[in-house]
Amino acid sequence: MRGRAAPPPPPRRRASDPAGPRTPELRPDEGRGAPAPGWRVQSPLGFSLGFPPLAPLRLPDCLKATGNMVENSPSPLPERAIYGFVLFLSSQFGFILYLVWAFVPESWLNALSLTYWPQKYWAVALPVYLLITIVIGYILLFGVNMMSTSPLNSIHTITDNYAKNQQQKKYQEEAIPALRDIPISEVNQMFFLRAKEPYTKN
Amino acid sequence: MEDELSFSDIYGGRLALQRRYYSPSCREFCLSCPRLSLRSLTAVTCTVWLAAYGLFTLCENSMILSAAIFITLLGLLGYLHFVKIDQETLLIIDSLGIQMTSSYASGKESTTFIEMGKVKDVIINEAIYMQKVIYYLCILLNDPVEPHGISQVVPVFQSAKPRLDCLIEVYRSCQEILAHRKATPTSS
Repeated sequence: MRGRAAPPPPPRRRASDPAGPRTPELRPDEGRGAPAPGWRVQSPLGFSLGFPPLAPLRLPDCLKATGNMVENSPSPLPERAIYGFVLFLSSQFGFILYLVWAFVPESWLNALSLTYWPQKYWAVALPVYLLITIVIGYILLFGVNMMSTSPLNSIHTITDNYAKNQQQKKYQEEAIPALRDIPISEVNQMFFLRAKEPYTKN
Repeated sequence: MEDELSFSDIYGGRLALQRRYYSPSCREFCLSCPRLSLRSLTAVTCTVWLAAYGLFTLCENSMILSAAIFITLLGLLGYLHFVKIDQETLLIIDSLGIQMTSSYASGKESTTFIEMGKVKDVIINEAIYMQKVIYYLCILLNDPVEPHGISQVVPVFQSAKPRLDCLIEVYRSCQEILAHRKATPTSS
């Protein structure tokens, strides 16, 4: 039972409102990691430390309406903290292991009965391979971009399958008109046949 | 009636646009590209000959020097005949069609003609070219299957590449002529 009543949610708008969704104004005590009753400590990471169970996260209305948005939000979560720590530990371990493999002489490792290691040649070769791959990747990405740019005589600079198959939506009074691909002839007439001054100043 | 205007291309070089109004339904636009500059010719020749001389000092074979001279001469002739375009012309005749002529520096001329029945519209399109976004004039061709479709895009003034102010002049004149065509529909 909470010691404080939750503030009333802001009034919801109907889905058919043509003016578009209103951005919800967050009240100062709403949103993730809202302060819980007095005996819990609020940590800067946004989840409260203290006696289990952890307080359920309070979400603003826009996130409650579409459940999908909760899973995709980038805010810190307890699971993500654990993943991060595991990654940190394993990468540190991997680095120390690599240094041991590269620097400690073979005889010492054999004395410890660690005999089945790859050749030390690879301790130098693999980083070199990796760096050359990164450099070639930059050049390759640039080249792939240039190759996939449509040439000047291609039909793809003007239209595409979506624009050819689009359907006219019914015009509603006092509503924002639906998004539509305008044919290039009309666009040209509007830009170049009617207004001349803005384009001849270059 | 003929007049000449001066414009610039996308790289900053000077272009000259000549407009000839033969009749209300027939117009010609002639765009002259900048000439081959002596500076660039000298630079290319010097680099090729210096490279050949460097190879000669390595190999001690005098065939390299004569080969470099031949390469330079043949390269220059090939460039003038196949690559360097001096002048591009667009002739638009109302009921007949559109003709594009490119004349090369060696005197060669290549012509393309599109009949008016195939022409849907003449527009200014923007596209990515190398590391720039440029405006260029192009002719849209009708699709025989679909009445409002576009089958092909034919860019014009490909080697002159004028800027938008020149393109707007040509575009307006072409649209005046194409408007005649829409006003008097063909009976076919």
